[in-house]
Amino acid sequence: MMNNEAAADPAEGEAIGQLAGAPARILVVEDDRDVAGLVGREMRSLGLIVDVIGFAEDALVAARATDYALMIVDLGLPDRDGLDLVREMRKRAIATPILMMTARGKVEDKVSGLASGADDYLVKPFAVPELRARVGALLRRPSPLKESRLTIGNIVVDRDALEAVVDGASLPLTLKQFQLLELLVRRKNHMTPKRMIEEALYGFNDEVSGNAIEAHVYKLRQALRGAGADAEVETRRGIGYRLVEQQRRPPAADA
Amino acid sequence: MHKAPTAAELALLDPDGTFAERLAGDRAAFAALAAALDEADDDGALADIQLLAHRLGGAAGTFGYAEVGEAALDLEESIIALREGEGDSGVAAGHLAVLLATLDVALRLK
Repeated sequence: MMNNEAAADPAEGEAIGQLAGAPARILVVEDDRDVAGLVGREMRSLGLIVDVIGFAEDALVAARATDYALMIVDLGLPDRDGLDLVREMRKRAIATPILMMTARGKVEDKVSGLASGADDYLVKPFAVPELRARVGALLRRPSPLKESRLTIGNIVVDRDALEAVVDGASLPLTLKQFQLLELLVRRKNHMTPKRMIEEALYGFNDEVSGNAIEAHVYKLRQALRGAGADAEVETRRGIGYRLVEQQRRPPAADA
Repeated sequence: MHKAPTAAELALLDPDGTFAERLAGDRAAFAALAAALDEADDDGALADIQLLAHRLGGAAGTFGYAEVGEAALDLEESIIALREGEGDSGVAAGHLAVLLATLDVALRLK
């Protein structure tokens, strides 16, 4: 099999990577550095944000903390079988589409992969255009477990429109502030560790300044208060943040 | 018979040449482990060959070295059979020789 069409088509890249209106983030779980490098390079050329992890246990931690649009998982990982990893993810209600990748190409292997919870299967060696096509197809699939509109109190977060609204008025947020709000609304009333926020807002290779998350939280809190939102970002020092619905204050009585 | 990839095709998949360098390293590792096939009771060495062959089998074809990938997967299968007591060290040695030869051809393409 020749694999001679590796060059990315920028137009196709935009179509895949910007599918939901924002760069989709994917996780590549592959311990072979060369294959991981090739897959990562191709996926980035499609406009996707890519995290690469070589161990199953690390992948499980990342998948629980991050809202990935897709995961590409190799079957033969050094610390754990990829099938076990996929089963564990599904058991933990991680609904992200999974493309399983392996050198094993027998029918029973494919059946095992799909039965474990993978959504599609790619046999190595693969042609790069096939990889791109399968990734594109999986990203286009609607996920019934992911609501596009999230709410708490009078706040509505529209993931498709990348817009947050309070009482019908759009909140002026940066992308990071929007992503922070989306995460906190998804986890409303639950404490969200700072580490989880960092992993949701930044790639593993990004350098994050020491007080970046505090700065985003501060700005988001100001924006919510300014718009009259009836939910407040609470801080638990040393632990994290929590978005909690507040009782609306009754209108002040006239003197 | 596979059509040999051109230098331009390989450059698209391996722009900085790291995979080609890996092929040279893997070739040296396979050559060093070849003696283990004469001592089929050295399961640790056989496991090393199996893992090396598995990884190369998965990666090589994707990078355009289809014959290397197939030879590596053939070797992996014969080593698995050997470790399960159902194989023949002569067959495995033959597959290793084929793999080394295909690696030599591939390395001349660099």
